[in-house]
Amino acid sequence: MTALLEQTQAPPAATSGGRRGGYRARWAVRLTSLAAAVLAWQWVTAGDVRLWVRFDRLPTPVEVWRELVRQLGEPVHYEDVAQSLVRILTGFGIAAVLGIGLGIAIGRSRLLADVLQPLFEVVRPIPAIALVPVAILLFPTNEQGIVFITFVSAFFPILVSTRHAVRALPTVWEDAIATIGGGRIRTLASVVLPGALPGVFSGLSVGIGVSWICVISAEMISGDYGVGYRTWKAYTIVDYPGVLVGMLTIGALGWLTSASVERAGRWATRWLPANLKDRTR
Amino acid sequence: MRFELSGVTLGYGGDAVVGGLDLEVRSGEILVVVGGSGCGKSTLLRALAGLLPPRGGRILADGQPVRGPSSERALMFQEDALLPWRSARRNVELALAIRKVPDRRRHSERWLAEVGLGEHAARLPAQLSGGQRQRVQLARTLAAQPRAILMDEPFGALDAQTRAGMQQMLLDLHRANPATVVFVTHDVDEALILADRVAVLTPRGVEAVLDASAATKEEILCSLRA
Repeated sequence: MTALLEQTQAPPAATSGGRRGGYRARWAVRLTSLAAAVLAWQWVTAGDVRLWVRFDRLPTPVEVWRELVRQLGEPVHYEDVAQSLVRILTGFGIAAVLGIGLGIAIGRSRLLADVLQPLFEVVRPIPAIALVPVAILLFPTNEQGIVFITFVSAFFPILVSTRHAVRALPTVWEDAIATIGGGRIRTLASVVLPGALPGVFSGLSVGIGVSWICVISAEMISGDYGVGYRTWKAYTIVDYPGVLVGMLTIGALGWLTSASVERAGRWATRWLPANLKDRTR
Repeated sequence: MRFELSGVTLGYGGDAVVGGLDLEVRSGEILVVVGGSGCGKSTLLRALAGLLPPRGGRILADGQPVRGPSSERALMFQEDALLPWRSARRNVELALAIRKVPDRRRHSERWLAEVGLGEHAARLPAQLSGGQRQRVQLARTLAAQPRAILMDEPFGALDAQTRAGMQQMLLDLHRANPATVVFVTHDVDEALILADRVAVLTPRGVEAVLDASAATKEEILCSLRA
């Protein structure tokens, strides 16, 4: 019993110190895991290991690192990154505005749902990348076609999540505002839009990920610049370290944009109980 | 505000919840509606608020037919109706913004102080207890300055001590701002504490309307059983 009392009456400083220690230990595990993966990569590629999978054709991490350093010193690398980012931000931005707007409209209006939903349900199952030939036919420049593909890929996840979020709002919020005199505009601005934000950001998170997949694929097929185009070009001239640098660049850009959307989402929905808990931790 | 209901039938979809309702609510009184679960108490309040059109009969508010929600008839819900992304103060400010009241921050803090929550104005609903959330809802309802306050078992989920405090607060606030109050509860004791008059509701309609100062618990229970 005494031992139990001593345990339960431990000073809080020791608890927070223990938590800090646990935090460091977790980071140590994560970094060790990454380092082990890079070492394994170096071992199988430098040793030309051929099991069923052929590692002898892949560049080593050291070769990729040297190529990365070389590319970072060349302006064309930054031009490619900028070009891909402009395409992503334009396509995703248009998809966000239209997806959220139409998602709310369909979620709120039966008439609009009847008019637009059948059309969307027909187009939605077609993978955006399958629309590349249509984009080439429709748009005068490759650039516009790529932005269109990016837009289509992000549009449907955003639209569907927003529509679901609007339809799932508790009716009591709206009723409460109506009975203190709030009209339609007030309800839309004060209840529907902020209430749907958790669902909207789920759609934006999925949308940004899918739009990266599609912009890179579209650049590989029909681009003149961009990270996807450069990666594919490296492959065609058998520059495998260049391919790996392209992949790492795509990963880094994807992580940066996804993390930005996630962070914006956490800020916009900081009232959610889970986010409140994070803030007080 | 005075309500008159004559021959009112209410329901959702294909099902009628309550029929043949005849009731008068006098201006400035606290009318408590008691009844068992599913007898149509909340449905009645939604109809008075204009959220549910009657299927038959007519509902008049100050002689005018009720044709939709209005800031003159504010409904306070049993469940959590606060907007969770707005602090207590900003929830109250919403009612003031709809009324286009200037200096909303000061006014909302005054209303929160009226319900004893002046110190918690900056907190989000999730950071408040159930009783505190109901008090914020009451402050928001009062800030709308309605002529009728419709209360749907607002204290039903609270513990006995908090409920007693809220009942006293409601009586004090009603003394200061004598709007018409229609209060729904299944608790006969609560009805006798709060009411000027008690209406006993069953699925057949209003069984009895009793003067609370003269009525006894047994009398109300007897009407409910009938």
